[in-house]
Amino acid sequence: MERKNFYLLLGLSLDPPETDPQKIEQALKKKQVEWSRYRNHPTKAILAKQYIGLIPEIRKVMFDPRLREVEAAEATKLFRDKEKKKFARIDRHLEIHMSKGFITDEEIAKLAEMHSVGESEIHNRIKIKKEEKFSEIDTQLGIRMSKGFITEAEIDKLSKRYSISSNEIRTRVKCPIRKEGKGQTGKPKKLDKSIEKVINDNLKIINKSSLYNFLDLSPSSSLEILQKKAREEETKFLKIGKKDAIVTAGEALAGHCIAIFKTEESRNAYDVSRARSNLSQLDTDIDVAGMDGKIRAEYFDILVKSAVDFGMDQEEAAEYIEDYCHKKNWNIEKKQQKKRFRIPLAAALAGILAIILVVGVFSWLIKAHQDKKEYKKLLVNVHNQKMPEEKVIILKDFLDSHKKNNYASAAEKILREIQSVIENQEFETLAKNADALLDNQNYEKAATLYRAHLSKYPDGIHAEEAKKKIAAIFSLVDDAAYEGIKQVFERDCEKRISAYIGYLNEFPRGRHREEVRKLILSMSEEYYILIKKKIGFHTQQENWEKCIQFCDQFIDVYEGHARADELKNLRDSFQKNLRDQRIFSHLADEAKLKGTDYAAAKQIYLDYLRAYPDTSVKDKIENELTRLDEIREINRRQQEKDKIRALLRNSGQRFVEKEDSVIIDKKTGLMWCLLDSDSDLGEGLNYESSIQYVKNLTVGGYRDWRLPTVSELVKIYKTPPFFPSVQPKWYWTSKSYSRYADGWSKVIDIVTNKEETAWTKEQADSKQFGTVRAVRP
Amino acid sequence: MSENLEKIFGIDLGTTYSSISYVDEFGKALIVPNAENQRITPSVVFFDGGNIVVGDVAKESAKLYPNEVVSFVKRSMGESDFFFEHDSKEYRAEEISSYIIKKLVQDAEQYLNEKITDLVITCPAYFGINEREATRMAGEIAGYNVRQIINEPTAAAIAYGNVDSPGNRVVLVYDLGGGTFDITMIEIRPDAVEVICTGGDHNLGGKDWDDRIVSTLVQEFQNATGTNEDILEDADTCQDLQLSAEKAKKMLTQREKTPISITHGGERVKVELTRQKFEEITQDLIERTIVLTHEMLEQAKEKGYKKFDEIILVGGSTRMPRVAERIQQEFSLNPKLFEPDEAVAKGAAIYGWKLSLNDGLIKRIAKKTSKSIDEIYDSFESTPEEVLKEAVQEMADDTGCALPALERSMVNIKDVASKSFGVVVRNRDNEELIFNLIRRNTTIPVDTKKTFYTAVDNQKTVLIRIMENETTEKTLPAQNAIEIGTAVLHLPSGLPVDLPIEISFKLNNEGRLQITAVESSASRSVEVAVETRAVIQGEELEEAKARCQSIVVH
Repeated sequence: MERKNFYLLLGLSLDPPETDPQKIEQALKKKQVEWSRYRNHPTKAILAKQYIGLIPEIRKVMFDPRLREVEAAEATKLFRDKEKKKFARIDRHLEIHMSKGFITDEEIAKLAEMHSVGESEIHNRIKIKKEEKFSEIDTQLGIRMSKGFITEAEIDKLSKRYSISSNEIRTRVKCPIRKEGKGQTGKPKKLDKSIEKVINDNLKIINKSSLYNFLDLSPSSSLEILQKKAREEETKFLKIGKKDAIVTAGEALAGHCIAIFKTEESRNAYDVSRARSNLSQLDTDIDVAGMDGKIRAEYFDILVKSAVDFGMDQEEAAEYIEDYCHKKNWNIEKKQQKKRFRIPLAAALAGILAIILVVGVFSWLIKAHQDKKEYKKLLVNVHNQKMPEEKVIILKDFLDSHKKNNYASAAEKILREIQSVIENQEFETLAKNADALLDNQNYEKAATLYRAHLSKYPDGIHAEEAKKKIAAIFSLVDDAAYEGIKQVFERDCEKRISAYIGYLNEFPRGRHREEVRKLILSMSEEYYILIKKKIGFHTQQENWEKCIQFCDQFIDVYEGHARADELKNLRDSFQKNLRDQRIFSHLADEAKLKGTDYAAAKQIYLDYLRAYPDTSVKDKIENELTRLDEIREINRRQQEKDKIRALLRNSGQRFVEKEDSVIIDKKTGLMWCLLDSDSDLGEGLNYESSIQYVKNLTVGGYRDWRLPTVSELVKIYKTPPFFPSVQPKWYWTSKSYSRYADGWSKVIDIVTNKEETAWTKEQADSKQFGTVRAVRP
Repeated sequence: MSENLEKIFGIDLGTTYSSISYVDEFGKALIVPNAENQRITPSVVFFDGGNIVVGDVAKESAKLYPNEVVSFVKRSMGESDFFFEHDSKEYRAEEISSYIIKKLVQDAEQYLNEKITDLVITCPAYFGINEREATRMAGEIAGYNVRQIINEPTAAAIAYGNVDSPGNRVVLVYDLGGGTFDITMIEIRPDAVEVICTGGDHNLGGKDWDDRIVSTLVQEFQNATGTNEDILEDADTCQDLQLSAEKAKKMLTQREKTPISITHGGERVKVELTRQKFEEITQDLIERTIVLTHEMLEQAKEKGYKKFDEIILVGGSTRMPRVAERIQQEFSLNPKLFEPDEAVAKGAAIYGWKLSLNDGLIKRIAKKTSKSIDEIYDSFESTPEEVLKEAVQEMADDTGCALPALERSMVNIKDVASKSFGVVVRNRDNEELIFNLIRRNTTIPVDTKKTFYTAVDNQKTVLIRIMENETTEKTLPAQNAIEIGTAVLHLPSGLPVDLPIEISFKLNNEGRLQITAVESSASRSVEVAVETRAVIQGEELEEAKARCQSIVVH
């Protein structure tokens, strides 16, 4: 089991690593009190015991400056993830090949070449991938088997999903296979939750994934085998004198195995619980959805969908979620029936226009004959004209030229009458058109028509009516818009809020202002969550401008609300981040200008950090500093390599660089690392570190580097032509001796790189610092 | 009555409860109740400001002052890195245990109105050297003479053998206490009680059953309130649940179900726990005791004991109906529940009484045969029967004790080593391994020798690492044992390689280890005192003693 890093365990500062023994002692004492207190806690006792058991080792490591330094380095390293990246690529490529169900040797060879790793490595990855796939299939099977049987259709589905033959799946099934899923018999029994937790806690301590894994047996093993192995484990743990946490957890687990693998029923209960525990992710989803105490109908659908992805069928999924919510006392909203939106027919327009056109005879007395005659003529003219507009022109002409005519007022009257007829006519058409437009919900145009009429006849007979019309249309529009925003965007919180705000902007005096404001207030929490989600996303991207923008969006709407105040604070911090981000990019630009002068580039960052030790971009700066160090280190290594390569070119044909950084000795066939540990790391290694060094070494795609034997080193350094050397060093070999003489010590045979054919055997103490020249195979 | 027999009291220092007992003049063991008139005292210590409170009051206070109360301290005996902090003072398990002892003794002194000076204290058979030493220290810190540390199952068997003795029989003592489980095979004869084999786990006891209930209650609370909060993070709730769990467990020995209420953060949840559910969630624990029992039986077979006549159940946890049921099912033998709370303390008292009678007898025999007391000690077994009988009669007359009681006390008691002990050696391939000098389940006292050799010329020191382990094999890998002490033998310079060094291990009646190393060329010998960090000693011990004397325990 990997042990906890002591810096992290004691919660010591890492930056810079705490080295004050007094402070470390204090931290340790504090933890010791805490662990002692938890020593008999109902659920944390074993962990506490484990930590108490670690104390002697913690003391050993943390009060030895050298070991402590290593510990600190490791702690820092834990924060970064360097590993795995290479394999992620290989895995992706493998997946492509394996999707057809098999992979050919040729493909493997090609992949090995492409990633410059051994074929065995690829085979290894394939095995791991296959195991992963099978364990996934087992999980899926587990979920389906939990109902007591499995159907042919389900097997087929799985076989397609994982491109594995259905027979292969069948062999993993541990329950009856049925043609159809009918006749479901009661729910399968599950393990008690608290027991499940006890088991899982103990498994965590011992670093195993399941009881099967604990027994090192496959989940398809028979009960007898499981039972036998469980008893063996119990006995094994009993024999161990050191009753530390791992042994205690192991004993407890063995006990559980004995109890659980007693009957098929209890074993099945465990399998079901195990399968179900995979659903904990789903549980978190439900928790998120139920944040405000209820599950919206649309959330429910999404949850069902993700539950189906976990391997349940639709019905099962719905049942599971309902069950879960029931336990949490959450309501699941039923889907609402959509209301049909109908615009009520527009109110009828104003009354019928009088169509009275009396063009004809006006028996009128004429004061003066001339006037009368002219007037008569006019009347005839007017009568003869069919279009009222023409009549108006004639009448106006008459009035202009016969101002003093006795009949002028009469003519004026006729003119007015005709004009009002025209106005009436126009309004009538207008009303008809407007009605048609309103029927088509074209409110704006209808309103424009009335507005145009109003401006043409500001004091016209229909002015009041037109004004009323416009107002009526306005409230119609208002209603429609309100209905619209209430119904149309129900699903999307963001669209909804922008519709609400849109409404308020559009209808500053709308009738539904209060209602809309209430709507907005009622969704504050929902909108807040949405905004936080967006902020969360952009925070990850470090897009502070966006973050600020979203804060503002919320604050604009909910000024004065508690959440708005919260976001205001957040906005302030984003603004600070934005500022720091700009500063950082400025620093980066300046550092870039320094080119390969890494020390100067580092100084730029260090100066800033010294001036502003609490800057929010501290992590970034530190990463940048590490990166610069790494680049410098790579350059240094490259120079070392170039030196040796130059020497190699002059050393005849014995040593040839076969692959990058791997030297092959044609005389012996052995492969040597181009760089020794000293040139690689820039520091000496004691023997223990040397062993670790070769173990972790990956050069030229090989991972099986090891310490050379005495005779292997002698063959390259004491037998011409010699392996080129840049400076005098001595190398560790694999030959070590331990002895007791006034304390235990270990000595190791060493070989120098002095070019000589006569030499004497030398030894060094394991605590000395030497160099490793790694060799393979 | 011309002479008062020196009274030695027996103490059962249990994980959850402790008790004290003595033997009256009729040879009958009696439990002395505490000041609260209870026959067993909760092993709980409450640091109440400057006062120390032990027992029921302390246990009840746990709810209110969870951080000032220590329980289950026995589980940490011999753990060097456990300590309880109060008022910025650190208390080790030994010192906390000493308060429990002090409480028991003080209350008994008051009840009987006499001074108590000498004690026999019991510990699980499964305790190793460090834990035993810590138990002895607890008694010494409290200021008493600890005459002997004896094994709990042995004590129980002594009490059992003392009650009725129909002849030879082999008894299995299934001792499931509050924190430990011991399984021991004992042969009871009219004249001897002899332990054959012992096994168990000192981290398996009633508390584990309680913890399972606690876990279930947490789960029920979460279900009922819909939270995922770990309510055990709250020290008050945690204590409260532990007390409720213990009560519920006891209730379930009588009834089929019991209501429990869980209060946390202003919410109250009522749940009902059925015996069936309780047995379901603790099934694995019972199973472990069964496996441990079989394990012990295997070893007994190696010693030639293939069957047993009866099973007796001691320890409070054996009251759980499931225990007897499961044993009946496994061994087809009806187990007897024998004074589960009191047998151990009584057995310890009987043992103490025997010790003091022995002292008296030896004094009288020495006078009769005009030999020195030391001589009689060495050859007690060969004392002529008449002389012995006379001495016993004299004792009865002098002390007013009943004669049959005295005769019954002549029973011989033999125990076995509960662990194996060895040293670290190197084999030809230069690998470290453990060579066992004393193997588990050998009858004690035992004395073994083995010769080892030095590794290099002119070696100046020999490092002896004393290792405790569980196997009965002769050698085992080093990582399977724990180091309980080290010793260094200094050699003169100029000695050759392969110099023979004889190491001898002596394990006495109490399970205390004595080590001698002899360099045979010059017969240079060292008495090796086993030095260990795991038990309180030196200045720290003196401080603890002083502290305990100045503190009044309530």
